Amino acid sequence: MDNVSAQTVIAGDAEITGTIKSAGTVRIDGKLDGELHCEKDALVGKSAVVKGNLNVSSAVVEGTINGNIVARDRIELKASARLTGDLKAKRLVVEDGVAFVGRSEVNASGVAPAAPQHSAPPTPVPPGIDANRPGVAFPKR
Amino acid sequence: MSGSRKASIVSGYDLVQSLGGRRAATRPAAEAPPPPRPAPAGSVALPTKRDIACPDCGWESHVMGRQSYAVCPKCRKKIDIVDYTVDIDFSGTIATAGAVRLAPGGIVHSGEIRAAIVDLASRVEGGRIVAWHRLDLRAGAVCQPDHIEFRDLRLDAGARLAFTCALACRRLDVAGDLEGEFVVSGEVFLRAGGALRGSLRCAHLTVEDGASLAARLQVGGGDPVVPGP
Repeated sequence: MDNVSAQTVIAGDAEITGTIKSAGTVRIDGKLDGELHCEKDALVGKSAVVKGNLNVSSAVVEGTINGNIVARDRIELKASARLTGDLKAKRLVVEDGVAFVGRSEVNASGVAPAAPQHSAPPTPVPPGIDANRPGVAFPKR
Repeated sequence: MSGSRKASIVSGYDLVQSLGGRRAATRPAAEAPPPPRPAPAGSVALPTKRDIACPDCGWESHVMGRQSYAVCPKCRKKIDIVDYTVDIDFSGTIATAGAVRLAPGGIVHSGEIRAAIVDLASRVEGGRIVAWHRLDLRAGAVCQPDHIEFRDLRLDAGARLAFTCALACRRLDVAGDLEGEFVVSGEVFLRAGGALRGSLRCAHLTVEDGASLAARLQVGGGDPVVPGP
């Protein structure tokens, strides 16, 4: 994501309460108490604190978010990211060091993941395998 | 022996000089002595070190070089350090500090396999498989969670496993399809093409682009769970 071409920048010393709607790219370095609806990419800087939900195309998170993130394409959590909430996207990249408490729903194919099953169905035995062969294992030296 | 043999003194210096001069005169230029063989690259003076654990008491130690067995410094029992490959029906017991490879085509009906590293690519219908270091699940592996115990788990691309109960381990590396409830004290790696469903609680999580993750997560500050067989 190109930080230089970010169209909307919320500086580190700014505090915003309310909903932000943008047709372009948004970079947040300050505090946002509300929701963010962005048509393009959103970048949450290291010093940013967001209390609300994000609805974006793609998101790169380096700061703190207390809310849900819904991305139509990709979410990237950098090592300094702190996320408390759910996230939903087509693609996800998480770096080592992220603190994340919530639910994740990410599928690269875009198809909704199947509900977890509590019993593992047995895989059929491949053809050509005779289960009645006697024998003993010999060690390889 | 001739009785009129005359004793003579042979000078070593003269002998060497005479031989050297003769050889220099008779050796043709095409038969130059071969160049000395270069030392093999990467050779080290110290033997390789290998970490082992006693299958009985679990005491971890290390051995140097190639040894087929060792003696546990704690319980004084003999530790087998041989690698095994099982590609037929198996119902016995293997206890080794090496690796056991369960190749495709083999079926484990009963018995027990205890090893440091277990490479599972076959079908497990019974018995018990204990990998005190790492369990590698390959494509085609079929097993129930009740039959396996491990400390680290690695799923190869194409492998599928579903756990019906909560599972604790030290390290988790997923390139296949994994489902269940996991508590990992160390690192979790979700590789591209891998899928993880259920719930996950771990200290460190790394997700590569292209992975699928549909789970309840708690990353960072997990309980120090001590897994292992």
